Amino acid sequence: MKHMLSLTAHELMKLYARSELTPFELFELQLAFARKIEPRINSFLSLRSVVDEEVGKVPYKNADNLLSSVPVSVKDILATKDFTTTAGSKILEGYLPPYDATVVSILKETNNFIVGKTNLDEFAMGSSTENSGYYPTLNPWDTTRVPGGSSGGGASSVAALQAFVGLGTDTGGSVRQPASFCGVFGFRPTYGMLSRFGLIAYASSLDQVGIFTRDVLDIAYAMNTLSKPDPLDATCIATGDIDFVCFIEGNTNTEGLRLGVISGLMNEQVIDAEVLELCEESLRILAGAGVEIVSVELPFIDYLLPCYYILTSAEASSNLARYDGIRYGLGVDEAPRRNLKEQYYEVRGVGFGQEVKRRILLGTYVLSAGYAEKYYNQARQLRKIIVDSIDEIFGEVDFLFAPTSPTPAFKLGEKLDDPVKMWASDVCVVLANLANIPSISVPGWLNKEALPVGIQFMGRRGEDARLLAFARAYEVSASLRFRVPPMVEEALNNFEY
Amino acid sequence: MNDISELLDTLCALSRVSLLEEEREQFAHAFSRILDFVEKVKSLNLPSQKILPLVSKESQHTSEDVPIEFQFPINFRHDYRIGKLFEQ
Repeated sequence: MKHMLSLTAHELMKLYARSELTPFELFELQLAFARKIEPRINSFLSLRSVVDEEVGKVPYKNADNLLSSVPVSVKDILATKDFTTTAGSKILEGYLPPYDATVVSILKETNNFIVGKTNLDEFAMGSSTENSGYYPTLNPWDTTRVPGGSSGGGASSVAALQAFVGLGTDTGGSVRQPASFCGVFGFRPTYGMLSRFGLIAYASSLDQVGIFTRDVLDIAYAMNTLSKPDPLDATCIATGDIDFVCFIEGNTNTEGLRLGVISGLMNEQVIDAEVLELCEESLRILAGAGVEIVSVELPFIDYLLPCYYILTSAEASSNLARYDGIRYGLGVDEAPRRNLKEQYYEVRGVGFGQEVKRRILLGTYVLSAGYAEKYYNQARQLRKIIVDSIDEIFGEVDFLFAPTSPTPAFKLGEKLDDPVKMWASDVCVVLANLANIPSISVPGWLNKEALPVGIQFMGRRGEDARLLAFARAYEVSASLRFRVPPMVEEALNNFEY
Repeated sequence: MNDISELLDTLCALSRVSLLEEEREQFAHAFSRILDFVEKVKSLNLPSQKILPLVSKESQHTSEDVPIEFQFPINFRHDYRIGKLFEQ
């Protein structure tokens, strides 16, 4: 029998509805287990120590297809007024925002329980969570490996039964890639479907809140809850009038749908052979469910990563200029300073980690006089070409398919010395961000080393519900079930509460 | 390595970032790898599309702006210009 901590959120809410469990009982159990396993994986930067009675004693409200009374982890880049918010950076150590991010406010209004703030690569810049200014998170499937990044703590918290749902952010695959490494579902909605108010900016034209869950239906519940219009975010396009749960339950037929397989991302020179085999197995299942599989060529595939890194670094160099030790950021008090300029250098030199400094310098370089035309403007034009081409391709196919990551989770330290090698692990995920389309990573299989491997579906801009319905249909056809990592299973079996 | 070192000094000055002595050499190596990596985009040679800035050195207002003329000059007690602040 499944332990109640390994249920999905909608299964948990059924227990509440049948009065078999109260939210307070569950929250206490959740917190005790999260704290027990935390020293082995470091999912969190701050983890609640007790269940506040004010939060816990609120009875479950059987609301219309919303997440309610569910333990949720929140990436430490989303502002929370009752937890420090560091963005994984020393420069924001101890910062307590005076307000909640809109998505956090909604979680609280619907009586969900925020377990803690999850670890990340500093300012969401990284693919392994090793760039955290505090400590790396370990993969619950194999603690010698990374959980992916930048939202590695969010993915590991959902996989390791520390939360039922996790909120992350996905600027260039930072939800989908860790979801794939940790064996959970990771969804990056269309840009603007979830409010960005209170999300500490990295690259504003690509930043997007994303969701980790244990099945597709839970994503639909989370979208119903969180996708609301927000006057505080001018880029928010949510209307709040779609019931994602009803939509995916009413659209289960995949017969005759066309799935475009991105051939450049199914190439043995780029993708691990075992990952390819598992992708092909997924395609066989889809073909068996009546989906027409076609191949899609993208001529700009080799340019995706350089284009992405130019644009995001340019935006980051501007967004991170605010951390000067005066308005925001670390106070470096001890050393005597001669002037304001010296203070800036010192605060930013000590407060930012290497990867953040590299991207700030790259951003400054590609925006500087004489280079902006050759790098930044070329990359902007290329992004426009990518957007137009993808729109054209979606005239021919319903969804796109690719692996989520070229490899399963890699070893800690394996790519840390070579930023370009690290960046290459994002090759399959940045397309959705550049083209501004929704995308989901679905955990399918374990490889021979018992590591999870994910596959990725992408949909048309704004058709998030349709993409989720397709992913749900695949989940059912492939009989996918959430798997608990062996180390976590063992800890659960020995857990006395 | 000298070229990259000089470039890093310039970029650090522009970005108001300092590099710790112990990270400098490794940083220079990683940064030159990054520059090679983004070179691909430069080689695309897409037809240049001039992007006009909203405001420029010559004109500090857009065509839709209605300039406000103050009847009296505003005299601040201090000079708040950035250059002056740096000198203080």
